[in-house]
Amino acid sequence: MKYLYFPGCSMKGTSRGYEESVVTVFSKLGIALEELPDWNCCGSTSVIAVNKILALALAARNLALAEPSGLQLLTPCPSCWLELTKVNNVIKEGGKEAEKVKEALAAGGLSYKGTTVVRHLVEFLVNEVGVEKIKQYVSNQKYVGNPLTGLKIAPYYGCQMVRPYAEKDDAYNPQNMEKIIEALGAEVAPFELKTACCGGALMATRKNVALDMGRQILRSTRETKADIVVSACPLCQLNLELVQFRNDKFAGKDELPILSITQLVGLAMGISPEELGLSRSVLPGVAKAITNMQKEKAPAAIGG
Amino acid sequence: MAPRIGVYVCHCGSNIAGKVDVKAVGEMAKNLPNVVTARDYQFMCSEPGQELIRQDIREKDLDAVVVAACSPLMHEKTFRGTCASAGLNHYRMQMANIREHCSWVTEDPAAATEKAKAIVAGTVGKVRHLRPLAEREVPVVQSVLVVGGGIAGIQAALQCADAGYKVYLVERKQSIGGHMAMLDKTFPTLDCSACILTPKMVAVGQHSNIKLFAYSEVEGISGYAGNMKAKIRHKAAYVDFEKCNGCGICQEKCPAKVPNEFEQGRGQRKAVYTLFAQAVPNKPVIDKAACIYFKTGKCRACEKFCKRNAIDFEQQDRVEEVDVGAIILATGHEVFDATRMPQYGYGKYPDVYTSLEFERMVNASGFSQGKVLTSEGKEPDSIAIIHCTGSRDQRYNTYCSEVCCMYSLKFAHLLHEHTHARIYNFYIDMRCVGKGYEEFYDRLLNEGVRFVRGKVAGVTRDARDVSEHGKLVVQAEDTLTGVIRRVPVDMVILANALEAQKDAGEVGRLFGISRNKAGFFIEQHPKLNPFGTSNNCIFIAGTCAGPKDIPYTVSQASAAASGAITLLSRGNALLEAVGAHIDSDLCSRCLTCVSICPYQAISVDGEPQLVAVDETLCHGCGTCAAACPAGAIEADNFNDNQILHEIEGLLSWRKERGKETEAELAGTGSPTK
Ligand code: SF4
Ligand code: SF4
Repeated sequence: MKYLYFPGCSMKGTSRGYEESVVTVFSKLGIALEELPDWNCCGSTSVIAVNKILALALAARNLALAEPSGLQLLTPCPSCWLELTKVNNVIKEGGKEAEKVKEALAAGGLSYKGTTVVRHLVEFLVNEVGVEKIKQYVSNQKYVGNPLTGLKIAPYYGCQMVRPYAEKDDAYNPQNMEKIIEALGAEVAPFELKTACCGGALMATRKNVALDMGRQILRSTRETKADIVVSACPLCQLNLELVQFRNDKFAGKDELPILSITQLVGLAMGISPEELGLSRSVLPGVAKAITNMQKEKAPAAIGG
Repeated sequence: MAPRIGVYVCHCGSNIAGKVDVKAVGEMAKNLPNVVTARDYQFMCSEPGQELIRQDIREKDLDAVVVAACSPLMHEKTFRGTCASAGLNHYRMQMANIREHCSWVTEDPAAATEKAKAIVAGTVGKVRHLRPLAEREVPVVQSVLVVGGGIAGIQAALQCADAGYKVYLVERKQSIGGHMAMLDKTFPTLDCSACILTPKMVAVGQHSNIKLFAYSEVEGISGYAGNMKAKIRHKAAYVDFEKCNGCGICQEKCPAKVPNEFEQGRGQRKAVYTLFAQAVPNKPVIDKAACIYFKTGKCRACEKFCKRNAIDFEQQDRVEEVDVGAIILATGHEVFDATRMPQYGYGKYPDVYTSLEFERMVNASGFSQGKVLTSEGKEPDSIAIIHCTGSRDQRYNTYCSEVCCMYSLKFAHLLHEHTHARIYNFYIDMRCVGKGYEEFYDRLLNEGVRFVRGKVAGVTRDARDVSEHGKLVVQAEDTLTGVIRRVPVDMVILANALEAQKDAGEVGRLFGISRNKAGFFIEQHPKLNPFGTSNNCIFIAGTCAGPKDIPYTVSQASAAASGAITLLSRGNALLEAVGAHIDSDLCSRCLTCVSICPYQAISVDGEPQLVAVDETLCHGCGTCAAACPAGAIEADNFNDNQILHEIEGLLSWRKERGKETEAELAGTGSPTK
């Protein structure tokens, strides 16, 4: 089955590495993605604070473009997912806001009935691709998998994947990323702040607050002795890297690799770091560090 | 002969007259066919108001009356009495509800007035065709069924029994006592809960008028007003209560251990067990799921040691039927399941306790013998009490549980007695309404308890600095100072909400009692009859009707008991006169009505088969009349003819007003078509 792909702005800018890994992994998994033609900003940026209807209309335009195809719309970005899901709910509920959004669409010659199904990548990997299939790709002889045995990975959800909507996971103790990590042969590093906000949105306005939020997350993951932090949000991923890149004395000494979820999945499937866009990481030497860790830990784990 | 109708429009102070032009409604009514007189008056329900009606009935020779006032739930009885006392059959009186249905819910005064006119015109249309009816009196069985053996059931049972009536008290657990038996002390007086409850429990056990059915449940109710049959299932206890003398040797010898529900799962009990030491009756039951013999076929240790041969593994459930004249429901509540709020860490962190767990912890006979220690066995340095866990929260229960502020204060006080810890109360508002309650709050302020006004967002073990290491960190926005607080503590106690019992829906259906949105039983009138129900032989008491504290529970239980006593001592009950009648010429014997009647009032008999309504069982609900495909059933005073005339009354009024009102009325909820 084919899916429409909604990248969102980050994937074309600061998070090109994440996008490259999505594209590579999905083609390896044999899932066809077609980028939504003529898509626009999801409306989740600063526009929300300025004009709510405009923000909703921006999101709705994408859904309206997707609707005639009848295909589900997949996005790797939690911000986009949240905004698209929100407008779907607004349309479903009806009322004044829905009217205004529809008016705005009509002015652009579009209409939207509310039938486009929006999916986030993480939930998609668990429920559509399936944990079993991922396991196969990672450990089956047929494929050149590279299971992450022995590595301890902290699943960082951030705030937007579980708040306010968490239909496909538990809002307080989400488990989807844990399932994926286990399928990759790695160990989950459970940490308290996995659904806390990374502070990314405050970076431009209240830098100190934002930095502190990022630091807390890094501290909390370090306490669990995690080797890698995995994120499914372009903003979180970048922010946690930046906090470390600033050589911030509060962030701790050793750099903690922050990977996007498909980069992690790709590595375990035996895809090369280059194809997964790892060289685009802000922190230098991430790919190498991981290979070293794997070398170091895998035999130990096998040997008991 | 044409009927002679009187119409009485009530101002209800400003309740109706503030919105509806009552004079205009009266003037309109005067012009309706058959209306002999129409008046308006400040308070129709007052003595002078009623006298107006009586006078007209006598002097103007009225044979039907319309009172346009409040809901019939409020005053139908009053005005029926008025008419009856002046010699008019009270079923020829009909209320037109222009308060709840009109003045209270219609914004625009002009529209409200028009709507009131329509309602009155419709009622006049119906009353013209109403038939005089008469209730019948039936003797009331002289015994009371009390369902639930918590403090409410205990109080009600004792009071009815003391008044000389036979009482059947049914409790589903093996002992009475309910939640109150689990509590340590009671606020604000700090009496020991068990010390004040146990004597009452013993009194129940010994009262010659009370028959206590412990470990039993009511399974079915049948019959009619004042003459009900209750089917009671005695669950198999595998212990013969007649033979058992409560020596306790079986409990001592039983090798099977499972979590103790009375101790909220924090302690252990045996497979054969009494609920707690002061249980009434003090007889054990065998928990089949935990018993080794039932699981593996081996053991029977209890049987071997029991000197009275009381253990009976062959025992079966037994069903018994009792006749009762009145029923008091006192089925209690349950507490909010704190795992539904994972953000507070209950079930995840061992040092987060629910309110009932804390009651048992601090109780000398509880699972820790009254010692307040952390899971690591240390005395806590600081403790947080989180108010409103699961109440006053849009996500869980919107209502206030009423008792949590006060028991949280009590907890703080007990913690001061038992530990040297710093105590924090996180609250939304302090609600200390009751005799001596505010004073208790003052006392706690003086005891040095810290109060933080802020709803707790979460409890976490994520330590930001050394002061938080190894602690539970309570995070809340302090809304008095406007800062986010992180308070590290060693123990957290949740003030769980009170909720309706999970099976309250089934119980409600069994007894025919409706429930509010939160699941609690609804009283007949929230202010004037807070202990009665829509069935005048069934009363409610205690937390099954909503969260409440012990004094309020006991008062309501006493009130419910007095309701039952009044009914029984009067000796007879009135059977509703409105009933269903079947025209056997039209009846096709499809038997739809038989299956649909909620009171099993319809039966089939004879050859050829005849479908008939038992008048004593029929409540006049009209379900059958609506369902009968042949239109063979007619419910008194709700027959097609009467209802069509009511509708015609409503519509004719509009016809007279002309088309221009249509636009005016659109959106007011008044009939426009
Ligand atoms: S037979 Fe069952 S109840 Fe009796 S002692 Fe054994 S385990 Fe306990
Ligand atoms: S009106 Fe009909 S359905 Fe209702 S109680 Fe009477 S017989 Fe039963």
